[in-house]
Amino acid sequence: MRVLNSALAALGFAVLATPSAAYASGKPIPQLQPSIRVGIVGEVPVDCSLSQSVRNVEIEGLASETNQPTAAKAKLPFNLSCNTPVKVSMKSRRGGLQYEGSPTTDSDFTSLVGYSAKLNLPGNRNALSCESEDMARSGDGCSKQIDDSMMEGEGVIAVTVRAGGGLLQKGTYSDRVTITITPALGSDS
Amino acid sequence: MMGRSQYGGRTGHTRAIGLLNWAINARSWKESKMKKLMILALASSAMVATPAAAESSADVDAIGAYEVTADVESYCLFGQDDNRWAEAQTNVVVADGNFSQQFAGADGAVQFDIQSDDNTVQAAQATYVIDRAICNEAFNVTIKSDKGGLKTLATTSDDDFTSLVGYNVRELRRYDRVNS
Repeated sequence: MRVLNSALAALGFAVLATPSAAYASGKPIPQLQPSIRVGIVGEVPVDCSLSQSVRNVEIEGLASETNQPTAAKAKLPFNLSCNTPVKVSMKSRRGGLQYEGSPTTDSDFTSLVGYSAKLNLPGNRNALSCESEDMARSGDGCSKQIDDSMMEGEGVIAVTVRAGGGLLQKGTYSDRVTITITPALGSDS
Repeated sequence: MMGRSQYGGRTGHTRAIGLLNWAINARSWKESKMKKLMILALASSAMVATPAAAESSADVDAIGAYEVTADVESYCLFGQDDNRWAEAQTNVVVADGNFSQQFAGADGAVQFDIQSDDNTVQAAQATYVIDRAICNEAFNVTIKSDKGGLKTLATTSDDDFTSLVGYNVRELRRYDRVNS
């Protein structure tokens, strides 16, 4: 019993012996205390999740009538739920839509088509805008701290191709776009 | 949903609270031995709490990745409305680049003066510039002649006269790369 009381007392609880336990030990029944005080602390853990309904996105109408890049658009949707300020970053693997085939030596053709990416977060439109070249740089080429303490809902990366800039080769141009949500630990927000 | 990335989790502190609630609910237990066991559980929870708390403060990112593609179809264009005959022609009477406007693509027309002073064939040459010749993939070029040369409509049985004057197409090349 002493062990129990000392342990609970160490945790900041005032706990009295139960009558039944005292009776079983043959000792006199102590006077019951009419109430106890229990300190309860609730802590909500940091939680942030991102889910995607699509992973493969095709940009339609890349080539104009003159076979040059148009300002074609595409949306990369996701769902986000965060209960803490975060740092968001967007990355491009290739710095633009890169031609997958063998590039021609003809300089009139382009093997890399740049684009801009605009990040819309739940309740925070245009949270971050970057060019594909910046998104390919190492470090914080395209990142921003979002001080909203809570975000819940749909977000999207809106991609817009940079029109012009050279002729397009027949085939596929591609890139990998990555969005990363990192908890902004130590934020005062 | 196809993918889900998450960071976070219950902290060690939260786990300790959960075990403590369990201890309070167990106050009606009558066996003191069981309560001693319960105390051991509380003590162990405090030890488990440390790594769990470290996990919550670690940077475990939520990530979304997209493969973005755009397809480009075959595109070949052979001449627009600015086809023209280049400078430095020889024995050319009429060279009409606008001829192409009446037809498609790289159509054009030229009239040579092939008659020398002694009424034999004289050399003539012209260079035709095709505006915007583009193909965005590998391609083959074929040059054909309807008549096999410059052929006259007149006829004669005298074989001193020729009814067909031959020529050659010397080269088909990228014009601006050489001349600009």
